[in-house]
Amino acid sequence: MKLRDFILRRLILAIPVVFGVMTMTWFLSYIIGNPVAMYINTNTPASAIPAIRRAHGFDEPLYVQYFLYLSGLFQGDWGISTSTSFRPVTEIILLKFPATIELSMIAMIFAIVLGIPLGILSATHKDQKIDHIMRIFALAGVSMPIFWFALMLKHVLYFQLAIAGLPHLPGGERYTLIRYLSFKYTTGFLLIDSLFFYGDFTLFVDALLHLAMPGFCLGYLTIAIITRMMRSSMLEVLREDYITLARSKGLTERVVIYRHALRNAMIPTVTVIGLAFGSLITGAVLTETIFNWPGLGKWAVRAIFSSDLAAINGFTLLVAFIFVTANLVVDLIYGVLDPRIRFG
Amino acid sequence: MSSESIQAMAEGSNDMEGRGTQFQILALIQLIVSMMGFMFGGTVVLGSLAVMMGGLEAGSWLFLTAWFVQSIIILILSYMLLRIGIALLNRDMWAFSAALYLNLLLVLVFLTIGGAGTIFATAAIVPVVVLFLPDVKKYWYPSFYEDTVPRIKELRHALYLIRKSPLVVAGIVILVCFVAIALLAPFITTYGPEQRIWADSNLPPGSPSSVEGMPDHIWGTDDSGGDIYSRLIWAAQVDLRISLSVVIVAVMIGTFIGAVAGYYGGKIDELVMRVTDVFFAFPGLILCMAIVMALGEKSLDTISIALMVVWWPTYARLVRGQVLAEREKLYVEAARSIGASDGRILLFHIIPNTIQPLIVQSTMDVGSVLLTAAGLAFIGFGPPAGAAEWGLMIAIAQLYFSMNQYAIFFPGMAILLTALASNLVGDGLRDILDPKLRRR
Amino acid sequence: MATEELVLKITGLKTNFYTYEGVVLALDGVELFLRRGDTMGLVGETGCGKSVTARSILRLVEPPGKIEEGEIIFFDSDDRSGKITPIDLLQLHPEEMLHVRGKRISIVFQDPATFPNPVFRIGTQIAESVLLHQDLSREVVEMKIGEMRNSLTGDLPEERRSQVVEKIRYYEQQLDEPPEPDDKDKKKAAQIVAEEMLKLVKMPSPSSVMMQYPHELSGGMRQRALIAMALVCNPEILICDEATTALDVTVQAQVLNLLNELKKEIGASIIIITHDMGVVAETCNWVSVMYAGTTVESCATVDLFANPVHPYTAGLLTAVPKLHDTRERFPQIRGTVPNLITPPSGCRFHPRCDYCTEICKKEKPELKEHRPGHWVACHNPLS
Ligand SMILES: Nc1ncnc2c1ncn2[C@@H]1O[C@H](COP(=O)(O)OP(=O)(O)OP(=O)(O)O)[C@@H](O)[C@H]1O
Ligand code: SF4
Ligand SMILES: [Mg+2]
Repeated sequence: MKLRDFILRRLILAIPVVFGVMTMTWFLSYIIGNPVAMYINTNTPASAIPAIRRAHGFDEPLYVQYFLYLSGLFQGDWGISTSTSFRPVTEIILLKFPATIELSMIAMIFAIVLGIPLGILSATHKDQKIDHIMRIFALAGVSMPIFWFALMLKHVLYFQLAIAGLPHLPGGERYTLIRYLSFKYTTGFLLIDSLFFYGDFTLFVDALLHLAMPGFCLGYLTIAIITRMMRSSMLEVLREDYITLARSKGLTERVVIYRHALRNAMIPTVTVIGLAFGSLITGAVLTETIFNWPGLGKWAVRAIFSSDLAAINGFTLLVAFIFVTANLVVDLIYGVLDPRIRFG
Repeated sequence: MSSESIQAMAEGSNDMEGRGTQFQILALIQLIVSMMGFMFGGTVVLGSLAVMMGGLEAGSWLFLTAWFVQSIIILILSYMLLRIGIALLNRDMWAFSAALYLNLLLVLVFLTIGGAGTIFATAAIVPVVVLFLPDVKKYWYPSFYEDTVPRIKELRHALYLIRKSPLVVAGIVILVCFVAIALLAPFITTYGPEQRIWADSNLPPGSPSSVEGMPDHIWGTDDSGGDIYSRLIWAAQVDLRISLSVVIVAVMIGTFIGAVAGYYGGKIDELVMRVTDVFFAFPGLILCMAIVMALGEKSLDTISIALMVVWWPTYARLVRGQVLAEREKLYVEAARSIGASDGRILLFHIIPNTIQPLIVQSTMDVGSVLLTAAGLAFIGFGPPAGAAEWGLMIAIAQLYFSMNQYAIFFPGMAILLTALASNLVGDGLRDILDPKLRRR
Repeated sequence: MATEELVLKITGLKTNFYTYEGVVLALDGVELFLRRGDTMGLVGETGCGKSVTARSILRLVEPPGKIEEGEIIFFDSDDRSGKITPIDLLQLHPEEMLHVRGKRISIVFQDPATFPNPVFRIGTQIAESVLLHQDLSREVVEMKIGEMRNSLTGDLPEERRSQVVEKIRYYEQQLDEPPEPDDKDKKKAAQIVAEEMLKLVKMPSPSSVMMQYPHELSGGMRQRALIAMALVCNPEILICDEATTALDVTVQAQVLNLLNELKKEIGASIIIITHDMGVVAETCNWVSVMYAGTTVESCATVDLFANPVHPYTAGLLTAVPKLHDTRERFPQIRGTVPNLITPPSGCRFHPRCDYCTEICKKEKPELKEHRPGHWVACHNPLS
């Protein structure tokens, strides 16, 4: 009941953001090029162009065009991607989305599993050697030029090992096994499809190996973000009075930290995990390019180089929606973690 | 206020009765500087509008658009300085310290513009020099000093803590080294930034040049025979300038917008917050690319503009939050009750108290901006091939990856080290400055 | 004083804080003794080290603070046999210290707003101590019997009823030597114990408070909850660090009365830290006065109010406003509280003392029995 109100209010707050993003993409499509291009392909005869202009309302005044653009978006008409054999943007997004999400999820899991304990370790050993090492490790993550890191990883774990004739990680793509060619995608997530719908463990391992390098590369940045946040919020929480109270009860330091402090310290950390989703997608643009990962990021870069307006807009909108959704989820998790804002 | 400063003020007012010409000169210089700012800012803003509208031929005029963002700030600062100049004529106490701060800010902004800016920056520093002439100084300095004593004390404590934390010291040392290397580039490089010896392509570190009389290639050469070591150092100039100027400009825009939003609240605040929401929802890298495309030219200048546009919301958010908290505090009420104007309250009472998180954030962002700029250059949105820029060097070396790893390794390390240093400093400073984390 | 009467004896306790400005010598030779069953007031100006003393007893001083030296002897009496073992808390292994904290000695802190953990229910927070320190096997069996008895009151077919009665008998046999209960039962039993405790501290509607979060309670209720947390394991010593200062006057009185009543019930010895002489007069039978990190006077409350011997205490008592007081200006102790980084030499009170002599500046006075039952640290005690 109250929870519904809470969600509703968050949704309402998200509306202006979504509209703002839509407006901005519309605006950008005007200053970058001519939006008519979204509906024209090489086979379109020049004589047909005026008809297309009319059909899509480009002869109307600007504000009418704006509303047409918005209503098009709502109806699922996101234009045609000229750089991807003129297929509708929505179709391509659906096709490539799982690859990117699979990569981001793996990176995220990496980051959460490693980042939170490292942050706690760092906080509980503040200003000791272990803290210094952890901080350098974490800060190197946010300071790492991800494209360079990816190249170096690829060089060492793929080229060098391959040249030496040793077992090595795959250098790119999502899979090598030829069996994938006849693979029928169900969810689009290779890990899930291969394991649950095919029950083929070699396929699963193959997909996992392909994920390892790009996943770690992308995850390292997020590990760093989470570790830092965890460290500073943990430090803050450890100074709180309720920690003294917990200690005065005779609880062991472990219980004090993992039961009493952790839950409070998680509250700000969850926020950055939500926000980190945004940086993951940005990171995916570069990582996918280097590892030749058939996902949205690589598609977006290509689209930008070929001035494929519909694709750029589509990618931008999608990322914005993901971001808004992630924030919403964060708010809900907040409610679970912190009783003070539950139903707030 | 101590008795000395009261005495000093009394002396100052005696001066007022008598000569006071030095104040008139100061005010005059101040007004001239402000006019200069107006002229510069106006020319650039109008010029770039004309370029954007297509009124002027692109090409030789394109430099105007490169300074568009800075010019807007310069216009705002010039307006404030105009007001200050007038106040200096009346010898208002507050105007002196205001002149000090704002002229320094103006100098900073001019410095981000590059060659032409240096000349203007020199001009803008004149009023500061005049402020510190003995005759003028004794009038305003004592009370200014009184006001800053608590901050100086705090600063000392912070410096003490900084000295005690090895990571921050390491970060500062690395940053200083990089800046020094960039400044000394003409003296410590062996080759020019775009000089190449085609016969020397893809050499490993330490190889002698095949051309008689040319220096050795300490860190090897790239695919087209450019000396990696020299190009790396020349590129330091480029990359550091981009990240510093983007951060400076973004901080100023963000602070201005955020402070206004936080202070006045209501509709403005609501609007600013929604706009920043939209910016945050955009993937930064993609937005930068789109802006670069919209500006129509792939160059370092356009990346800078794009980065400034993308970066200000962070600071606007930060400052707004701080201002909201400070606004309600007692000292603001007090300032308001003695009739200080909104602008003055913001500038002298509120913003100085929001400065610490701003310092932390901007230090760390020097690294982040560098990374994003290098990323943009890597994808191909930076300067044209051949320029000395770290991201671009990696992008090109990538094509010859299997035969020459040094051309990738060194520029990447340079980026990593610079960004790491800025993050070490920023993160350490947060520990030190954050009152919640601070050890009492 | 005969040692067998004591539960706590502190001698020469020194605690320092290593800060940027310098080393704060917060405690410099604190001497305290607490008799079994007494309620002792610990009074002194703000910043004189009362809280640091309390935290030092439990070894809860956090960096940059450090307990430098001294002895804190706790005379632990076994619940069953009543045998008394002296333990030096400062020599105790940190692991063993965990069994003292919350179980043998507990503390109630000053600020009910910040001390409960905001993300856990009150019930969970109280039950936590119970689970940690108590062997709940007997309680679990009792709980099971209680549940069965309850079910007997309802309608049951005859056959089932006899089964239940059988079971009750079976459990009753276990009561003397209860088996190790499983975790789930233990948790349930701990909740019951916690709720009993809430009833004992006179919490309104205890069963619903059990399920509430700290922010949903009023200040007084939160303070009661904190007291319940401290008392739930029947500690030997309860330390109340200004437990009532943050509350308004009526609630303050209620909480104090509650403490007095509970003391009889539980048989704990209590240390009440306060700067309110009124509270001391009403609740304590013994009082120790602290000044700038040292104990200056220690005696029975009546004795202190009637004949203060230390010049500082005397000043403190005249500074207390009385009802029907017609004085326009309250007398104050002249001078200011000393800086504890560079404290005055000799007697720390000497710059403010009217009776100061040469020796006071050089030599630190020791806490001595000035007359029977009245300890004072002063070279020239009054009267
Ligand atoms: N964390 C700390 N860092 C530095 N000094 C401290 C710290 N905590 C306490 N002190 C010092 O120890 C002295 C005693 O503090 P304490 O909190 O025990 O006073 P108190 O008697 O409890 O005062 P109040 O009545 O205000 O609670 C103070 O003078 C203070 O300067
Ligand atoms: S020892 Fe001396 S200075 Fe200290 S209280 Fe006694 S008389 Fe005063
Ligand atoms: Mg205290």
